[in-house]
Amino acid sequence: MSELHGLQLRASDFEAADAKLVAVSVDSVEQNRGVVESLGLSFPVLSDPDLVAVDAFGLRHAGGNPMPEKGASGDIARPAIYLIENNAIRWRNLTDSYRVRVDPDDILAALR
Amino acid sequence: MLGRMVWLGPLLAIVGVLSYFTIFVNWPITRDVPWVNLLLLAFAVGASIAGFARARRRVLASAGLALTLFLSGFFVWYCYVFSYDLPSAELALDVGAPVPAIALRDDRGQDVELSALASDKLVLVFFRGHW
Repeated sequence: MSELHGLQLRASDFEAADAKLVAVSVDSVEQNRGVVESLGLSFPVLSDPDLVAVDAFGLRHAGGNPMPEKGASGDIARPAIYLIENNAIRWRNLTDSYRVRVDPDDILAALR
Repeated sequence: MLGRMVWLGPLLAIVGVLSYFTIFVNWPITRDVPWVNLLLLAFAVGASIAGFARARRRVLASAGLALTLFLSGFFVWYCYVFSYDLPSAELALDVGAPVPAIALRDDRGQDVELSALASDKLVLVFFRGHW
């Protein structure tokens, strides 16, 4: 969760760089609303419960959630950040370890 | 004195593991390289060995040492093996690819078309979820 919080702390820098922040998870709309409210996010979190976007980007981590809720597959997105401009991917970061996330400064540097 | 406190090592080990997930994971400087927790676990192993070497109650001290070593081993395995167990990056969309035509619901229940967002500069963050 600290990743989204870290991005929120730099929200004004992303705004100054003319970039829109949008997050995606496999969680439900309601769960995402809870995340947005509890972290005070100024950017939206999209819900992808059927992993449509996750698969389109090739990011499915099968069984990545060891404790899925009843009825859920436990498949989630591997952590990834995509920088998109003019409808094409300009930069991406796929961390090697889900414990280690990209520094917001590195994303901002890629935006320049 | 230190050596007789057979509980000190295991207690430090428990704190050393739990405090990563509850506290130190919140800041990149203590999350990416978990130096605070590795330091705590190093002290825990040292204290447990000292406790074992000097203890009169050998069974208790060896159980404490075993617990400390188990927790330390788990933490190192989690940080340097398990958390790296991700699917191949070769499957993922690469630079230059067009944005897939997909609509998703935002946290207010509104449908959002990715390509409508992506006409500007867009930072799209895939995260693992709130669990």
